[in-house]
Amino acid sequence: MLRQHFTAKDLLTLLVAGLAVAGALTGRAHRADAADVPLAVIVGEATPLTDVSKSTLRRAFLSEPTVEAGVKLLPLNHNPGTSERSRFDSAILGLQPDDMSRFWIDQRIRGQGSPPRAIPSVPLLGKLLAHLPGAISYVKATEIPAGVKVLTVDGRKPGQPGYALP
Amino acid sequence: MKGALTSFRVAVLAASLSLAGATTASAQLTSPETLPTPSGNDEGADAGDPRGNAAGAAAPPPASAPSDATPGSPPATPVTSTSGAELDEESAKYVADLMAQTGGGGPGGAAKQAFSPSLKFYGFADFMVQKYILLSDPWKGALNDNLSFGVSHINLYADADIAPGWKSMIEVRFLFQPDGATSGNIGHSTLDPLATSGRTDSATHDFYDSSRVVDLGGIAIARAYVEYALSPYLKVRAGHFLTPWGIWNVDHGSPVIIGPSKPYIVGEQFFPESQTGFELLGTAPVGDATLGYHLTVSNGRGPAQVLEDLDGNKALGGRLFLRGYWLGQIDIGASAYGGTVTDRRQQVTDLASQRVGWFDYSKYREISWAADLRWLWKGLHFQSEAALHDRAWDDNARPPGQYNMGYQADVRRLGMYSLVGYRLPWLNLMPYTLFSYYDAGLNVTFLGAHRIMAFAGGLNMRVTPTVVLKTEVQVGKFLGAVAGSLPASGSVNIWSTQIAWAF
Repeated sequence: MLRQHFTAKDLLTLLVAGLAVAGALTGRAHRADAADVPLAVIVGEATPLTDVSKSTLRRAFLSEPTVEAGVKLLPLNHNPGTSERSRFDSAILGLQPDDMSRFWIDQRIRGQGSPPRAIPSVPLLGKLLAHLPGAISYVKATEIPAGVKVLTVDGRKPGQPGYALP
Repeated sequence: MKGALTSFRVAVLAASLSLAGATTASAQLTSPETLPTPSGNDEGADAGDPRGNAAGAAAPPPASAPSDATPGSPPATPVTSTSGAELDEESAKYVADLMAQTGGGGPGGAAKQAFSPSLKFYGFADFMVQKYILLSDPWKGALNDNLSFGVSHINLYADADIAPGWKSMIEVRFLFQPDGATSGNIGHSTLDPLATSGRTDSATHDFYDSSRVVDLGGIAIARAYVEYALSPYLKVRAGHFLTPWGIWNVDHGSPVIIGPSKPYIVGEQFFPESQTGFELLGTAPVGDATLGYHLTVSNGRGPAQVLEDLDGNKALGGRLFLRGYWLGQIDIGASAYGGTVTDRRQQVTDLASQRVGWFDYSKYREISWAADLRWLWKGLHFQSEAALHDRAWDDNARPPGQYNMGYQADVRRLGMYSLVGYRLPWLNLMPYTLFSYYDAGLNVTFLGAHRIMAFAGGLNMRVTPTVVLKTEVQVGKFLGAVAGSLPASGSVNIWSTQIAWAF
């Protein structure tokens, strides 16, 4: 019955069309993210840092011990599923949300570390950064809380060409 | 028979796909980042949060508050901020918790005051479906080629932060074995199967159930150590730990490893799977890369390795690795291990006084070397390990060979494996191939051959980050088998399907 209605060519056409639609949707999502306000890396004003490298951010947010300017960095994340978290993980760690979950499950089974703490709101994040030297996080560049400062990443400010974060 | 097997495969595939669909549909609900935590907080918790109580998406007051993490513990001490300003209660709890986590505030400072121990349980398990397929008649006589089901791993972790900078890790594997497992006297059982089954029988009578039979299983302690962070770049472990060699031995958990079965160099323990002693470890940045190291000193292997060292030679080992992000992620490592394995026994040396003394029943020196490479780039997963193991006997303590023939020979074993897989964008599917080679050095190992090559092809499907389905067919071919021997009769082929899950 099925064979009478669908030929191999039909199925191939359907497959290609499906992939094209999926590609278009992915592209739209990507463009929507790109149109967002860039993320800014922030620390408390007492933290003696003005710049941080992408590789340092990667180390810190992969929970590898990271010391910059004599201060041990304490990475603080946004909750999983937030736009900020997804964009940061993708740009700095090269991992999509599903990959990220898989990565931490695997690390836990190996006994090789735990993810940075996720903080549920930007105001709270700001307070924590302001009071914990070495604490480091990221927010949308238009939502910088009081008591923190924005770091350049590899010498570039948010929005500048070549800036590491979307 | 063939038709029945085909039907079975179709049924398994259908069930797998059905399960995959169901679990994929609920992935948002069961994401590891929302796993329930020991403190009962399941709101947005990151998997493996060091305190087991990450903050939730809409969870004020913070789920991470130490008082929430440990029922009955004192409430978190309000912390005065470094800026001198007072914090509201919610922020103070977070600050205290984070300072405790990092050991901030100095010795005896805020971190120490605010610290409250935390303990979380998690682990992994797996269920296997296995069948030897397409065996030659001699192999059918030697192996059980019936389709079999089994739960092969139930590993439970108890992971605790016990003081600022101190961590405890215990991993226990629960087994249904030894009941039913092949016992050491398989040779006798084939000669007299009426008298000896060749299997271990651990059944006993349950006093509290009218003395009905209950099968006893076993417990294997995979890890039990305490760890102290001396600095960001140096940690010390004391206890029983996994030997830090290569990739597979540390990955070790069935949800993490790609296929359902180990390559020979891992399964045949070119390095000991675990050791008892001390381990120093750490990582440090080197440019954009990370350099990591492990150094171990332990009892080494032996008949009582987890209890005592039966010789004066401590086993030494180490591993160096470099992790870079040049084209995806690349890990390159080298490992080494050396020790003396001694079976030291006691005997009466003077009958009149009943004085006893020690003698070495068997003793050999072992040295192992290994190199490994893992490359992860987009969906590509490549990993390979090669290892060599030398065993040199002490002539004064060289025991009889297998079946009491001659004496044990010095032997060099070597082997390698390479695994290539690609994670497709659909259903988290990863088709993969695994090539494994093992030279056991002695013909007696495989009853007429000492080299084997195994080719495996399979599918790994990460249904959710915590659930993995795997299916694999492996063909093992013996090289240079003695004519007429069992290995010369054909390859050993096995089909394995596994569902592994982390919890």
